[in-house]
Amino acid sequence: MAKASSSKSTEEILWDSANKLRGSVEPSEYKHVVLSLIFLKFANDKFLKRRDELTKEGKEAFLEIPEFYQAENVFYLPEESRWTFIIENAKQEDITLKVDSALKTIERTNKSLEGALPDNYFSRLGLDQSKFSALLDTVNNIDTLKDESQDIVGRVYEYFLSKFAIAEGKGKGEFYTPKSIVNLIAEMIEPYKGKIYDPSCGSGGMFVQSLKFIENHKGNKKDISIYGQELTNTTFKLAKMNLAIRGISSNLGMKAADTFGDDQHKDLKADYIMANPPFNLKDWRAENELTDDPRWAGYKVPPKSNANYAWILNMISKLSQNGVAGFILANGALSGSGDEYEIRKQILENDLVEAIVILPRAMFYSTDISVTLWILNRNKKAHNVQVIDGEKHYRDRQHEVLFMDLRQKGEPFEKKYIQFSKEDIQTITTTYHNWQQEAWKENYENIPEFCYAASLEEIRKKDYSLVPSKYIEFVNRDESLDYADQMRTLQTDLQSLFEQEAELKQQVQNVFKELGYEL
Amino acid sequence: MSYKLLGEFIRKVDNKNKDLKILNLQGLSMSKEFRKSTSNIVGTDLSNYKIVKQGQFCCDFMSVIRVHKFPVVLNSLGEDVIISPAYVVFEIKDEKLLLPEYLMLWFRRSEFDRYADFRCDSSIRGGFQWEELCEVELPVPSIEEQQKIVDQYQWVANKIKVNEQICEKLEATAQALYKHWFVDFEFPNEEGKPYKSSGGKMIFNEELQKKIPNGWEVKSLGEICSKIGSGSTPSGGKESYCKDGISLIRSMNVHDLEFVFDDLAFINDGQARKLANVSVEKYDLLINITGVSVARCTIVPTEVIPARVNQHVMLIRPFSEQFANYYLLMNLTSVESKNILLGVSQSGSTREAITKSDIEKFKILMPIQSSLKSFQKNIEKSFEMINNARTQNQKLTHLQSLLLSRLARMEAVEN
Repeated sequence: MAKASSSKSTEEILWDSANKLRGSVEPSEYKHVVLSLIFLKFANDKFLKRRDELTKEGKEAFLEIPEFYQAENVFYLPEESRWTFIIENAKQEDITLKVDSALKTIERTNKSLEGALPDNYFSRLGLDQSKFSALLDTVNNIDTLKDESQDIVGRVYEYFLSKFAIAEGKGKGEFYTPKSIVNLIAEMIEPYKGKIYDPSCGSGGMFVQSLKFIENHKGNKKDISIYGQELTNTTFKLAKMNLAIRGISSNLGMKAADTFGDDQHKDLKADYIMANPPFNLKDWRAENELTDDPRWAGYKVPPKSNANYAWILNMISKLSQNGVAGFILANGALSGSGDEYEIRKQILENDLVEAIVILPRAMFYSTDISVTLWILNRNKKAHNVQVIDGEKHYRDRQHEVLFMDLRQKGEPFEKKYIQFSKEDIQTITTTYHNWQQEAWKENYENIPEFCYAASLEEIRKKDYSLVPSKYIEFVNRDESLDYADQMRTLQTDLQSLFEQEAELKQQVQNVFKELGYEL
Repeated sequence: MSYKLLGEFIRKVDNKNKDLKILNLQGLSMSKEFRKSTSNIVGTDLSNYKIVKQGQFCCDFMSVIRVHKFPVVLNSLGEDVIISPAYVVFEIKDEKLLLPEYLMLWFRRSEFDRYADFRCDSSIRGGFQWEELCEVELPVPSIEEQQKIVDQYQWVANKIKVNEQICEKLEATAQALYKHWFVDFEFPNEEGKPYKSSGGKMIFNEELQKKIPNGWEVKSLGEICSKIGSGSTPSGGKESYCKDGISLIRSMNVHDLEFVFDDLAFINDGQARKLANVSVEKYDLLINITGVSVARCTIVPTEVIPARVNQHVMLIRPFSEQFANYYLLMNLTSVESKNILLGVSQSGSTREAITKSDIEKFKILMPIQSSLKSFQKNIEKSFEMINNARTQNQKLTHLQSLLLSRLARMEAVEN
C-alpha cells in the first residue's frame, strides 16, 4: 500500500473508505459485513503464508490437509472460500451468495469456528452490487501480514468495533466496552494466569485486553483460559470471529444463550472475572422463575425489575477461592433499596467488596448514565502472590473498602467522549495497588475528591451505601482561599476607582451644565 | 460555631396551582435567578404546576449532573409564581433560626456548585437529590449575624446595580446627544444655537438624496482612517495564551459601547511582535467582523493597552486631527449603520462576516471638525465614567464572591 502522506492511520483510511460505501445499510448491520470480510481476507493471508511454508518445506503432498494448517492456528480454506476466489468473482451478480458460501465452508472445515460466522447473511441484505464490489476492493488493500508485530488485523478489528459502536450511538453499541475502561480493569485486577470469565462478553473485548495485558507484562498467553457467554447471536459470532482472528482459543459455551436462564458454565470457578453487563436490565426473569437458583444461595433473590444484582451474584458464585472480579454497573446499584439493599449488605458483611470506583460520564458510546467499576475479591487476607516481575505482598484488607472517584480524570476522545490516558491508568492503578500491599502506610494516603479507604464500620454507619462521595472527602476551596490578600488588592483598586469616580462625576456634571441641563 | 446539617432547617412543600390563580410562570436560570419561562405551554394544564410563594426556594435537581451547578432560586420577586412540576419547592422551617437570604448566599458560592456536582454519584438516576441537599453542612451563626452578612452582600449588590444604571443612563445620554446633533442636525452653531432650527444653511447631497448642513461631506471610512485591520491568533491557539502580558482582544471582549474584560487573553512579547501591525492605540475603535457578534463596536479602554486584536476583531483608527472617534462609535453602533453593515455581511457567505473592504468603503457623513471636537469633548468624560463604573462592578463582583467564600471560613465569620 502506498505510504499515506497525511497523518491518518491505516485503520482510519480503511474506515473512511469502507464507511463511504455503506449506503442505506444500518451501521449495526454493516459492521457484520465489513468485519466478516476482514476476517475472510485475514484468514486467507494466513492460509497462503502457511501454504508457502509447506511448499518450501517440501510438503506439497499435505497442502490440502486441514490439520497441517490448524496445528499452527491457521484456518484451512477450501478453494471456494479463499479471498482470491472472491475477488475474482467480485464483479459478478451472485457475489454475495459466494461470500455466504465461503463463510459457510470455512466454518464447516474448521471446528473451532463452529457457529462463529454469519450464516446466509450477505445474500439477504440486498447490498448495492457496485458498492459491495468497491468494498471488496477496499478490504483487498489491507496488507494484514505487513508487520506481524503490529497486529494489524487486531488493530483494524478493534478500531472498527469502536467506530461502529460510536456510529450506532445511544441505546445501541452495547457489544463494545470502550478500550480504556477494559484496560483499566485489566491493569487493576491483573489477570496473570488462570481462568478468565465474562458472563456477558459482547464482542470479546475483555479477553483481548487480558491477553494484551499478559503480553505487555511478558507473561505466557498459554497460562490463561477463556470462558465467556453472550446472549445476542450476532454479537456471539462477533466475539468468536474477534478471538479466532487473533488466534485466541476460548470456550464461549455451546451457543449464544442467556446467562441467567441458560448458564453455559455451570461449574466454572474463575480466577478472574471481567464484565460489562447490560445496564439496569429489566425483566431478566419471569416472576416465579429462577427463584431457587444455586447462584443466589445465601442471598435474597435479585429483583425481577433489575438484573444488576443478578449479575453480581452470578459472578460471585463463579469466583475461585482467590478469585477477583472487576465489572461495570450503573450507579444505581450502589444505593439500591429493598432486596438489592439486602444483597449488598450481605456481600459487604461477607467481605467481598474490595473497591468501588466511579467513572467519568461520557465514556460509553451507548449511554450517558453514570457508571461504577466494582472490584470484588474473595481473598482480602494477607498473602503473597508470585507475579511475572516478582512477588506481591498483599496486606490484610479485611473489612476495608477502597473508594475512588475518577470523574475528574480522563481526556477528550472523538469530540463527545472521555477516555483514560496511559498516565491516568497509571495513577489509578498505582493508588489501588499501593493500598493493597504491605507498605501501604508509606505509599498510600486518602486524597480528597479522589480516594478514601473506608472501614466496614463506616459503611455500616452509612447503612451499607456504596456511594463514593459519602466517604471521599470534599475540600471546600473557600477555606484555603487567600482572603486577606485578595481583600487588600480590592481595597486599593476600589479606593482609586472611587476617587476617579468622584472626579469624573464632577466633569460629567460640568458637561451637563455646559449643555444647558445642569444636574 | 459549628457546621449544621441543612436538613434540620428545611422542608419540602408541594402546593399545586389547583385553582389556576397564579399565571406568572417562571423558569430557573443557571445564575440562580428566575427567568421568564420559554417553554411552550399552549394546551398545558397549569393546575399541575407548583407554586413558589415569596420566601420559598425552588430547585432543579435533574440538571445538576449535566450543568455541574445547582440551579436554585429564592423567590424574592414580591409575588407568588408557578414553576414546572419537575422542580422541587422547599422552605425554611423556622426563619428565626435560618434566614432564606442567608441560605441563598450559601447556595450562590461557586464551591457549593462544585460540591453538588461532587455528590452527583449517588442516586439511581445520577444526580444531586433531596437526600444529598439535606446532607449539606453549613455554618449557622446567630440570626443577627446572618442578617449582617446578608446586608453586606446586599449593599455591594445595590452599588453594582446603581453602577449599571449609571452606565445605561450615560449611554442613553450620549445617544441622545448624537441624534440631536448629527441626525437632526441641531448641533450648536457659532452662537451656540441649534443649527437647523436656527436656519442653518442646508445643501442637497446627491449621494444621500437629502439635505445636509453646509460644509459636511460624505466620506468613506478608508479616506478618514490611518489604519484599518485585523490580526490573528498566535500559533498554538488558546494553549499559547499567557497569564499576563499584552492583551489579545477577541470578539467576546467587544460589545456595543462596552468592553468586557472577562476572559481577556494575554500574549507574550514574541507573539505580540508578530502582531505589531495591529497594535491598539488609545481611542481606537474595535469592531467584530465575524461570527454571531458581528458588527459589535466599542472604543478600547486605556486599561487594556498595550493590546493586539485577533482575526475576528478589526481596529479602526481615524486620523487624530479629526476628533471623529466618538462620533464614529455612535455612528457605527446606530441601528441605521448596523443594518447597512449586517446587510453587507449577509450577502457574502453563509458565515456572517464583514471584510476589510466592506469597512473601508463604508460611507460616513462627516460633520465639520469643530462640531466633532466639541462632541468628543462632551461625551468622552461620560465614557470614562462608564468605564470606571464597569471596572468598579468587576471589582465589586469579586468582592461579593469573597464575601461568600468568607461564609465558609468559620473563624472569619466568628470575629
